[in-house]
Amino acid sequence: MEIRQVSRSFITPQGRVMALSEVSADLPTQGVVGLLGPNGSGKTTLLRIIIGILPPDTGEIWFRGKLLDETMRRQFGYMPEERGLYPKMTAREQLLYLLRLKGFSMGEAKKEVAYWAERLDMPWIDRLARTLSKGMQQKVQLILALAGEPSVMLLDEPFSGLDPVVSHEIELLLREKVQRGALIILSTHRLEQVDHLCDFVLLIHRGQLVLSGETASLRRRFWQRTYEVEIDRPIEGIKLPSGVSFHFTGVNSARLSVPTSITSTDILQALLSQAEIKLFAEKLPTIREIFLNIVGEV
Amino acid sequence: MKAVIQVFSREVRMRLRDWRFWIGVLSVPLIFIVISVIIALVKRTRDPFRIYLTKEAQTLVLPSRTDFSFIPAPSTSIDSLKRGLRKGEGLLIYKSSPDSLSVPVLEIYLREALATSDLERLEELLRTAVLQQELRSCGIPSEKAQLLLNAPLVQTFILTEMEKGPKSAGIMALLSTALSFFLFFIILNGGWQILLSILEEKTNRLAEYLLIYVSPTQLLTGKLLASLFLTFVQSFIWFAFAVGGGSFILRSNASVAVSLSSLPWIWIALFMVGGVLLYTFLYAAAGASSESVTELSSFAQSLQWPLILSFILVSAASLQSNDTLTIFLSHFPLTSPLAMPLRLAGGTVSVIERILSLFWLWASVLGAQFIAARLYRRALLLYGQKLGWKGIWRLLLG
Repeated sequence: MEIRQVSRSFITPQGRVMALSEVSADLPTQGVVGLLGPNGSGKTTLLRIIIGILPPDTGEIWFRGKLLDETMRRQFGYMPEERGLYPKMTAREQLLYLLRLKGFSMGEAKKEVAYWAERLDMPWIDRLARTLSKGMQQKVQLILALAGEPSVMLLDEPFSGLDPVVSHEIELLLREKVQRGALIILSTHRLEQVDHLCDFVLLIHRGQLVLSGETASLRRRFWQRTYEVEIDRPIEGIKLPSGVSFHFTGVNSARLSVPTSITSTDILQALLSQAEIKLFAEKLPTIREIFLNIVGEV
Repeated sequence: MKAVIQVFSREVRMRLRDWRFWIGVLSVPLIFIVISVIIALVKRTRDPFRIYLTKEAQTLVLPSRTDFSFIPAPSTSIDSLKRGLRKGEGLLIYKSSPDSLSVPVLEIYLREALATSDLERLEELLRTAVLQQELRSCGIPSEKAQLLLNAPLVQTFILTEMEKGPKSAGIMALLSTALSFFLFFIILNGGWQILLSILEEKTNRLAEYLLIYVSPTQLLTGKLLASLFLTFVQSFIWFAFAVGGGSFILRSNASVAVSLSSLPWIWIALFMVGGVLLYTFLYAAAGASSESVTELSSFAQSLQWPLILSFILVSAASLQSNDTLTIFLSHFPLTSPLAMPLRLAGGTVSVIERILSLFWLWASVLGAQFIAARLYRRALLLYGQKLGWKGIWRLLLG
């Protein structure tokens, strides 16, 4: 998916506000893309533009070599940030109704609902929505996005308000979809999830794309020459080349910050001459650290 | 079309499942039935009013009835009979005409006043009995006497006026009030249904999902059709209960029946449907622009005022279908659905006037639909923001 020079502004009582300013990014056709940014940065606006609820002022979006149109968008799954259910309908009734609006035949819709009810363990599917917990409702909303094997799924804060068990269940489900070739674009505030869930990251701040790339390569790019070290004796008193700073994480362990003039081999040799090494690894920054770093700088 | 049918069927199912809908539908017939039963019970349990007949009054042939019983008075003086009357009792004195030029006299003495309707019934009963008595005394057989007592039905048909349309002020007033009330009811009922349905989707955060797969026009059309359908179901049920009374009026008054059948119903229907659509789309726009029921009521009230005003003005003008005010109202889109049927009932509106007024009305319907769809798409995504009139204006222009 290619996002090309997408801009969008809104008129507010305070005047015209630029929600997105010339955002461009090349996304992979398969995998989980994390859309990150502080509140009001423009994440939801970008998702709404991709799904077609909002038209961009300028710019366009291409998918698999074609300009994104209504027909392609109808195949996408979408879970909006502001989501709800009809309180006086059962979960099954609204799934059938909304799937039929999406274009499913009655037979297909019933089949999908039966499959997901079993897959997500929903014995409460015939209860009125107003009697369901938030987690249960979220499952119903997720089904609407996942049903029918969409090639692209746009999930706006899919984990908000969920307990860790349901969260984990959904993560597994998303991974399964990716293995089948889907592209999932999700916005989330749970930055600790991004490291293991997202393959690609887009960081938006004040309507501008400030960072994008594969999660692994970004973490490497922002690595600040720090190492995790653990030895068989107290680390205090160990002598290392000058310029290396310690941040103790335990009696026998520490995080070392190493200047560019010193190589990892120099550190290893120094450690080996004084103790037995139990752990020596590069400490890559988490996406959360990168996020805070970038947003703080901007 | 498929999406419109889906929306329509959901709206209908949900409304039919809502007990408040059935309360609304059944309340009028239920109230009607309850009142009828109470009246019947009261009548049934009430003892018949006892009328004592003096000797001469006993010569009258009086039928036995449930409301009045006629009993021969004991042979005492009139004064003592009057003194002895209790509550629920009366005394009838009949003074037949001594000669052919005098009118027979009936005197009724009551301890307490009777209800006007009961007294009128008693008087009619006695008058008929006296006339029968007099006819019989002239040698006319009782069957013939009965026939003579039934006044013949006189009907007058003025053909030139019938060709123009009904001119009867009474019929016109009845028709215009009935049509106005019917339209007023449909608009209020249907408008509020749509308004609440849209607000439900907005407050429950469903609109964003719906908008991906359904256009605002499709969604509003489905809701509108459902609302019209349900309103007509409700009206039909009410109508079914009223049909007894209605058919009685038509049977007993042939001129009303002729007048009704000569009305330009197609034109009236076009104005009424246009009116319903116009107001319903405006209500839909109000629903899309509101964030809560409280906020909604201020928008809805703004819409209700022209409707209430036109209803009052049309009702007030119903006897003068061609005065300046009614003519003006019949060309203004917000009031023409109520005012033009009144003028059409008068039968004095030229075809050009009808087309012109209809054009403005339906152009306004399209405008209202555009506004409603635009606001639906734009305002529904502004969660938690109070828009106000300025905000709505900005959304429409921006």
